[in-house]
Amino acid sequence: MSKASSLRPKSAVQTPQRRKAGYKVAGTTADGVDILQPKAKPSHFTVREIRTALRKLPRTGLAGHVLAE
Amino acid sequence: MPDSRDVFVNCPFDDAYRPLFHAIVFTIVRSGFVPRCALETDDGAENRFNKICDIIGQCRFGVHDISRTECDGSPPLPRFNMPLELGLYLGAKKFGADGQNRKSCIIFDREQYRYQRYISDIAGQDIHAHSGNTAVLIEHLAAWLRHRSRDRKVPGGRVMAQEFEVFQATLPVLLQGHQLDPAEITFGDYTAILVQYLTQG
Repeated sequence: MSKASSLRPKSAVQTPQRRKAGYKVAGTTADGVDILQPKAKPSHFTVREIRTALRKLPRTGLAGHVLAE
Repeated sequence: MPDSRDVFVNCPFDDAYRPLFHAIVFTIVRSGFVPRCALETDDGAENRFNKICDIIGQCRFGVHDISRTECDGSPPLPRFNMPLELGLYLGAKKFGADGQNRKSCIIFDREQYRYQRYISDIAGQDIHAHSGNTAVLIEHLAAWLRHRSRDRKVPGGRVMAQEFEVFQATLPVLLQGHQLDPAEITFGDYTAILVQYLTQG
């Protein structure tokens, strides 16, 4: 595992629509931080398109910085 | 009552400041909070001042960077949007009802005591100097968020600064498919990409 890849905070739990004090939780990182859904909406692409782009990164070979183990 | 994990971001939004703005947003999201700022809606029909007031009223925390309070242009005049919004925030804390007095904020400048030359009435507030350095800013902001929210899960600033560098290097690759430059994406785009990046396994 490269140093760069170890610096990506690893997500441990994908919890659909979990809530925390009125906030929607998008997921939880391996170190236990609940990442909350933003209130601003993307304007150039959808969340699905972002997920697709992220999934493609390891396969493209361009994503040396973000490759998960 | 302000939302307990909303953080108002009051800083310049120009190209030169963008790395620091992104560092602030990254730190807030990575620490488990929600960044809020005037850029979150792009509605020309909405009065900007009213929009800022609404967001300030909803935020428990605030990050203010007054480092750009300097003379510019011809004739040279100071930029005062950031001190104005800092004043609004402090006024809401002082005079607001329904839990507004629980507001807390961190103030950044380039140098620790520069503010005394142009806004000395905030003497007594703890001003943090970032020297234009994203890693320094992230370290101060993470420590402050951990302390003020009493949330011990907020990660350390030094590790977070390294994670930020990796994310920033990844961003152009993610945007290639859309033929977009990182300078073209909106605040909403940046936070959406960041949240997915942090939560996708």
